[in-house]
Amino acid sequence: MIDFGVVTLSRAQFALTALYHFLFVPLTLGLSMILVIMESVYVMTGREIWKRMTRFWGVLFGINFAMGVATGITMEFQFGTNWAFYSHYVGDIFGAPLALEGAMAFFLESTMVGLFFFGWDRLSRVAHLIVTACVALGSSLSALWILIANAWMQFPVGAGFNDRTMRMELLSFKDVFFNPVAQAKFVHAAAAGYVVGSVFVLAVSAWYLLQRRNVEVARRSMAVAASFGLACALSVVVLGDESGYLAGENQRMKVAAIEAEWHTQKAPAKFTLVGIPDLKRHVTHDEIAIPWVLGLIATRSTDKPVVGIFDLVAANRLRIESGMQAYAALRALRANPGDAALRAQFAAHQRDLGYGYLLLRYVSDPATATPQQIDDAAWSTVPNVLVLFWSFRVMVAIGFFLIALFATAFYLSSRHSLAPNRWFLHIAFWSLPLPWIAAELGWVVAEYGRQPWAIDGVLPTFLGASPVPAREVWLSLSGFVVFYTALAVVEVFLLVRTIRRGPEGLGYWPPRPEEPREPAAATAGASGAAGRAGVAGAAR
Amino acid sequence: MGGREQTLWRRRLSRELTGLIALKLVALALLWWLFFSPAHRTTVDADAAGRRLGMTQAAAPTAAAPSGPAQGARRD
Repeated sequence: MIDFGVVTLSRAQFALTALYHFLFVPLTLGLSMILVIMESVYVMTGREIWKRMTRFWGVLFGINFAMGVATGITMEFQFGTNWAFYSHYVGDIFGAPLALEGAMAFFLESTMVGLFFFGWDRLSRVAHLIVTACVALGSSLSALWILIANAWMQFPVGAGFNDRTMRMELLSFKDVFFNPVAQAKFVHAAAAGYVVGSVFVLAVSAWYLLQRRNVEVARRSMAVAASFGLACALSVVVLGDESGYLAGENQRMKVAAIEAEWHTQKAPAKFTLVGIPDLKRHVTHDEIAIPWVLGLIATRSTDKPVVGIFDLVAANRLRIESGMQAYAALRALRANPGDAALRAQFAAHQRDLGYGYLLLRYVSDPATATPQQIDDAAWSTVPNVLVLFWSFRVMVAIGFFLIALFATAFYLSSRHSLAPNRWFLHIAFWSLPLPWIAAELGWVVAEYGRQPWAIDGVLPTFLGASPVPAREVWLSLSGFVVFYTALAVVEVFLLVRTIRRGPEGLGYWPPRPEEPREPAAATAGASGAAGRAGVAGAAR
Repeated sequence: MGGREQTLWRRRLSRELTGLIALKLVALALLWWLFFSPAHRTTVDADAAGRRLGMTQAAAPTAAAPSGPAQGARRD
């Protein structure tokens, strides 16, 4: 018998650890690319200040990288401890990209990180730049393999069910790798990571400029962050649109829930900008809508409808009834494996077997489900519309705000007028948490929007959980909360201490005698008073 | 650092690295023996999976191959 309390606890634990892990991942992705940019300028120009910048931001990257690794490992263990049936049922497919991530991306990244920190005085400039590029490549490859695994959960291609082993098995690795959802998710998530890294550099640099410290480093760092961040923030919107379009093709219920599209509208559908979805009455109150926009975004046409939740539930009801037949045929087939008629019956309904499993929440034998239970199971395929509706809108609003932020920073930076515009520096500094909020909400939309499925259309989430005692999950969940809180304190402490010390304050990095210190006129571009204060700050 | 000092330093480094790697191997072996050795493995077969899915009938062996990617090709 399935203990739904344990399922909820296991889901809460995985959500907590995944959301926490993703605090570090995008910053690692973003900072690694920014390090490549900064070091490339150093190699091309030979100017020491770019090396100093690379080393300083590299220290912050290193702190964050270590935390990302520590929090990522625990997630992979949970597939075995908390999601044992999930691992049995789809491990043949899901395990491959995870293993490749470890063997290919993580090994590359981890090895090169050592060379990055200890190779400054042992490698040539070009060789060290190649090492830094390998760190960035490793980070991005890591994201690629994880997102291939995740995309397979959203759109399971290249696999089939084997009634002998009672599990899904890999049929085409090529299909899994080239899953269109994986490609779209990777570029979208990677670009979002680059935005996180850019905002981090922008905000910390803004703080330095407000403090009139490390002005030269901060000014150049802001220029890099503004230009790279602007390009990436624009890419996030375009690539996110592609991701949404694919969801409209493959996960229509998710899109309908995000848009609170209760009933199918006449094409092209209107876009509800804001509103309050009512989960009980299945309507959206106080909505403000823009004509045509949803139809154009979701279908890229003016004549295709965006199917509403009620119609999708009706379609899913038919699939559940088909799934009941698949379930009954599979059970009979297991008792009489040589029966050709049963095999043919199973083959005819096999694609809906997962929908039949949905009934296990309501009845021990899905083949005997009542119409009411079928109806309940059909409505269980609707994710939480209120959460998805607002998560998506807040994420998009932050995305557009960040485009404006980077564009302003780019404009001011190109006119060498960042320091005098302190109002903008304040905005840039206080924008620091925004990309993380957007990134986390993006995962809420992707994962919460996939519910009730662990593997879309194949395996309901509640079936994937391990049948372990609730007290054990409570224990591990409590342990994670305590351990991760301690890690968060350490991370913030190390980051803040390093930032406060600044590039000049890192003890292991004394300026060489022949190396010119940050010049007194380092504050060029700032006002005279700011320049004098900058020198004073540098002396600190 | 003189030539002799460097040689001594390298020897010491090699000794420490060898010791650390040996320690790591012992720790890994201990972890495997305590948590992952065959005695700790749960047998998961088709019958166990069937029970999880509410299918209690015992299965006879079959040679059925994985069937096509029908589930993967779903469209809502």
